[in-house]
Amino acid sequence: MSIEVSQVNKHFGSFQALKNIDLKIQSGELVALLGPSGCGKTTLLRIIAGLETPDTGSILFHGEDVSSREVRERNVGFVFQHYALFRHMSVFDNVAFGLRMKPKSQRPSEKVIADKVHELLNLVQLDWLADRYPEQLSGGQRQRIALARALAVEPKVLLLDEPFGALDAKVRKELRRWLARLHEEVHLTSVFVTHDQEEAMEVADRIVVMNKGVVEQIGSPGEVYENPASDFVYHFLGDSNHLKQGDEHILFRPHEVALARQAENDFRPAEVRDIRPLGAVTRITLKLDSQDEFIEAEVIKDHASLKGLSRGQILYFKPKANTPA
Amino acid sequence: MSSSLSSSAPFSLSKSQGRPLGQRLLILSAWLAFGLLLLLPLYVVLSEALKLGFGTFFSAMLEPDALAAMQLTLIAVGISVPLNLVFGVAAAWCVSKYEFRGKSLLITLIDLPFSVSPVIAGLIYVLMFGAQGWFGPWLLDRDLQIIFAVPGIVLATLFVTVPFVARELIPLMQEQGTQEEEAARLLGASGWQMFWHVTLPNIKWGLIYGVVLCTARAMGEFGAVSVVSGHIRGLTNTLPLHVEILYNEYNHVAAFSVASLLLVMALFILLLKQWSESRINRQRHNSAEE
Repeated sequence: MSIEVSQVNKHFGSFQALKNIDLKIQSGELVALLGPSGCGKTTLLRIIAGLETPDTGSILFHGEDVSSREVRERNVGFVFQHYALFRHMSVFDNVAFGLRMKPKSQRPSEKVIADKVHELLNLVQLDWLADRYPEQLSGGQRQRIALARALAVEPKVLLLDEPFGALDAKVRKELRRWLARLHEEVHLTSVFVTHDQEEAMEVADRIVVMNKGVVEQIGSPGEVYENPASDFVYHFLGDSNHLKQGDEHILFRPHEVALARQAENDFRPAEVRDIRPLGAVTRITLKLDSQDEFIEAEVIKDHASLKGLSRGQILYFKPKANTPA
Repeated sequence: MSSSLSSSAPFSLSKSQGRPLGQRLLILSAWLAFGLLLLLPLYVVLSEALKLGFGTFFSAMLEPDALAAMQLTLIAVGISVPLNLVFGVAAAWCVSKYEFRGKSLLITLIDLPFSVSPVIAGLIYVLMFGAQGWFGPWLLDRDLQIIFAVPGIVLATLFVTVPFVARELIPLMQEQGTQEEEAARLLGASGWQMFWHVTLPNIKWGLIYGVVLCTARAMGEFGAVSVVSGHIRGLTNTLPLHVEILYNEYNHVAAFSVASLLLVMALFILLLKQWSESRINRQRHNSAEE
């Protein structure tokens, strides 16, 4: 089901959290709302869910205005950042909750509910935890149970608030790949909020970059990275170097650098301050005489210029592609 | 709170040999103070009550005026505690789940009965509903009596016990936040279903604890009730007032017999309190591990 956000504004007291937000999400898409904390991304997600009411504007599901519909009638699945599992219920009861709350005429029998719950627990690969309580689960397990609980009512839209925010780095990586695969399986229109650009790039079909309550850019991961619409987007999507060349300044990413041990045409000399092997690439921190700001370069780990390199030596560098700032 | 202190003490009794002198003295004086201030009076009440044997002890308790006082106390508790339960949950809900203007003022006002002397609380009701009070003539016209009657006693008890349930629930509910309720709404629960299946189980032990404290205070309330009661034997005397009257009449054995009845009820409530408190601590402990 498609989601359309049209001309949404939201104030909290005198603070304007969202300014004229327009957004169209196609059916079956996986979209990331990306931005720094306080940019309004969570507020926008909560407005789509119906947990907050916008001051102006409307929310359309599949072309139908749902702005005046109550939370419980919107049929959205929502996963909270801290999962909000019902602490006094077992995993099974948590997942069954949505089905048991249905009006009597639509409520399935306990047998059907049990089948459905086990099916969902199998989907998230945690069927063996059905009798446990939330406090006995790890963060990653809680996350997946929260997802199973949200999917139980067969929502038309899935909304996730910082779904990996509270997990440690390794679990986080595993889970986001798993979520991307799951999305391919169930193909539910999904929106997730994140402040981590790597996460958005890796999982989402499209990224909505937000800052200070406005949408800065909407596009595929490739588009927003290659053609950033503003300085903010450029800086937010990755590390950047700032180089003064005479009167003009240029911006370039750490990997957009050519390095050489000998002086070459257009190459500039700099002192090596730090060498950091980061796996496939190695990061070198360079200091120029002409500016205080360091230059960071990332090259593949077996690059010729790195052989026998140590701190304090002189290295020659040249920005490959650059964006005038 | 004494339970959590003793259970969390890092020493066990078997190690008391190696305890420094200062620590031993402190523990000894704590027990001494406890014995003198709490156990001795308990002993005095019971020994005075049983001075003339079990016969007089039970007849003092089963005498019609004592039974009427007992009945009135139970009525006052039976009305004020459920009302406070409803009010307490509603107030705690408002304060912890919504943002609104004047919230801190409301929290302060909930505490008012704690800071106002109970005698003044009683006087307020006399000034409002007494014959010369604000609503006196209006009530007199309709032949309604509040002061020196059961409604006054219930009102006074209610006023004094208002904070107990709300005070216990507000921090608990603030700590728990609103996300589980939001999750329930998103999963299709109605307001009532959400309250019944999510909110209530989460606050259950805190609520029981608050109700127990509230009941204890409602049973033992003397000051406010004394002002509005009028001390009419067999009609407007609660148990604490009855004890006072018996004592003032130099009927010490009967006074202490009735007092021991209150004492037994208090001890029973103390046990309930201990039990619910341990359940809350367990719940806190579990959620702190998250």
